[in-house]
Amino acid sequence: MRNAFLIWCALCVGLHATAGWYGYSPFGDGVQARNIYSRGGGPIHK
Amino acid sequence: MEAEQNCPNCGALIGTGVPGLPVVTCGSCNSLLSKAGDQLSKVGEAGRVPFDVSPIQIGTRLTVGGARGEIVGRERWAYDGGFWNEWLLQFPNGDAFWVAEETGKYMVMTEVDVPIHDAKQLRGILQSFGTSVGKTVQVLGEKYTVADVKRVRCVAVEGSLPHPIGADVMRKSLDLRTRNSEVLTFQSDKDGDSLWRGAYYTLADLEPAGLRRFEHWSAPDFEAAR
Amino acid sequence: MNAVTETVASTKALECPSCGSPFDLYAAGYSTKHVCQYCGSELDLTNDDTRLITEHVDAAKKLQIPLGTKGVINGVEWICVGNIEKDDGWDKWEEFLLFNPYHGYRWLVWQMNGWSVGTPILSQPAHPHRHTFEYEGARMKRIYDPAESTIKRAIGEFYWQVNKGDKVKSTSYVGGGKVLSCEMTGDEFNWTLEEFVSSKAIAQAFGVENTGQYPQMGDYPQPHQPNPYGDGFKTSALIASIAFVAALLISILFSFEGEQRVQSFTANPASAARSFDVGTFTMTGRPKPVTITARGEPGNNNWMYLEYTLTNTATDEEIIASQPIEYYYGRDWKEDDRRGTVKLSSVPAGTYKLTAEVLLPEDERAGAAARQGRQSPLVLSGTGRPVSVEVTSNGTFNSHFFLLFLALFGPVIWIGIRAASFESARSSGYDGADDDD
Repeated sequence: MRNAFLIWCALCVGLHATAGWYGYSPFGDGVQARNIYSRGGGPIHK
Repeated sequence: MEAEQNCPNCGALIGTGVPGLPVVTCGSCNSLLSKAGDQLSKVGEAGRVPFDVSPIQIGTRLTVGGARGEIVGRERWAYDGGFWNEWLLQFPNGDAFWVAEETGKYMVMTEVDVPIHDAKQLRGILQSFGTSVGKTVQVLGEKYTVADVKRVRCVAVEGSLPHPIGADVMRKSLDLRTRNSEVLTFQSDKDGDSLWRGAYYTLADLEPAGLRRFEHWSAPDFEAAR
Repeated sequence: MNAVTETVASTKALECPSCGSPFDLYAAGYSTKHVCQYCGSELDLTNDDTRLITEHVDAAKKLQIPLGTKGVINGVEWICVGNIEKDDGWDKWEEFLLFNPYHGYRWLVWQMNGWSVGTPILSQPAHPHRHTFEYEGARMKRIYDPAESTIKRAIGEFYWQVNKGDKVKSTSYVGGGKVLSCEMTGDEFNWTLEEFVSSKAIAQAFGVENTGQYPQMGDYPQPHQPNPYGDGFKTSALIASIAFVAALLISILFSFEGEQRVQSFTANPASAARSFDVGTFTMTGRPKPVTITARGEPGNNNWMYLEYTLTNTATDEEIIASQPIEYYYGRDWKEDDRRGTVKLSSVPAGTYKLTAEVLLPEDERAGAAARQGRQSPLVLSGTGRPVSVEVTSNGTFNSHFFLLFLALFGPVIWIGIRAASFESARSSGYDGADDDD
């Protein structure tokens, strides 16, 4: 169990490092496509 | 070293004995023998020690308070509900302890002087028997609870001993204890009174060597080499 | 005087005077009473001439560890010489008396939920009326209040005159992974130090069937049963923390190099100028993220919208991204999004130009009017909306850390919950479990 968790953690860190090295993100933080902000704005507050 | 002698009763060879201990037993006829000068004379019956699986035997070496002594004799006592061994642990300088062995526990006992006032009080408790159990008494300036008052009988003795106590000697015995398991035993028999202070040890604590060997049991790893 | 080293017999062969079954006495000289395991007849051993105390014709009881069975516990060999069944009105349990001529006696306690080995202790740790006390560096807490149990069965050999029906008052404490039990007879207290033994270890030691233990057996763990998740929780939390810190360091290491461009612009509703260049920069080597941060003043309860176009000057390939800038508030609330960051994933090496286009609410209204064929509402005047955009050719994705945290600490939290529920099951078995904590 302990070794399995160690391997899992190593895998996660490895994946994280690889993604970091290539600057890759499946979403791209905060990125929005063109013209999607067409609601005319307004607060989320109700 | 004293010379080996023969039993005046049966003629069997008696060991060299232990200097300073006037009483020996004959392993052959179970006579209780007393030494007076070079002369051995029969003073009573030693009785036959029944079979037991005590790990201690005459010749076993034990350490108490940093000093190493050797077991030279034993008394076996019985009371209504059970029995125990008292082993005589003799040190090279002539000092001696009694090691009481019961239910796998070892209580090393040293004799302490009884102040006259305490002796009187303890003798009174001995007379009263069971009625005093649970009562608190002041002995040697400390508070004790009466744990047990009983009549005990010597079953048998063996080896070298300080007193001519043999089989069937009766004694009254009183156990006192503090909350912290400090134990005092007061004994009274035909030869007078004595007070003993006891402390519990495990066999391992006593760093034993020369333990008895049993079929189907291996010697303990705490047994010392010397 | 010489030490005698001959080996002597360790048992004494006897016979039950009632049913005639032969038996071996294993603790000769210590045992004062023997109860025949076949017929239940009681034999007094205090005298050389053994004496029948009471005669019974009970049915033989099959014991989990048969009398005379040897087993090694913690490196010491023991023989099972007696068995007692106790009942305190709630629970029933069994106690096996173990003997070794060199080590004395031990108690092997078997409850539904598992096993425990008890060593009689020679001192008095405390007065058993206390609720807590210190023992060998551990704080012992009372878990079972003094209660009476009854001996329902006693077979084999014993060092005291045990009787069926005898009442025993006892109390227990736990601390430092150990249990201290105290049997109280009048003013005399006999303490036993109990240590957990797994049912598997007992089965292997004595060559008997594995009885199982909590959670397979019983409703709660023993007071001293090790928490199977306790160590796992600590270890996994440590591993996960180290891994997380390592990932953080790696990320910092990867995000050193990079170019930066900053450009400010003011969008005026009255003017048509909406686009501006943020700057041109060159990226080399591996693909890297591009971080674009915007800061703007849309006005009170208003918004503006930025659309970025990152163009590779060599290939004319474009990457599009957008950024709303908003500022809303009420009497007791505020939504301040006047600053925003977007991060572009894996932008390959090359020379890039970033342009930004600003969209204002006024522009949207004008666009809507135009689509409906109306005249655009005249914008007479309007305050300029300043905006500043900064682009950096590096960055780290916060979402990565969020995902990593979940992946690393999710299992830790799961183990922690299991550990906590084991502990709460444990304390549910204690006296007064409901009234403290």
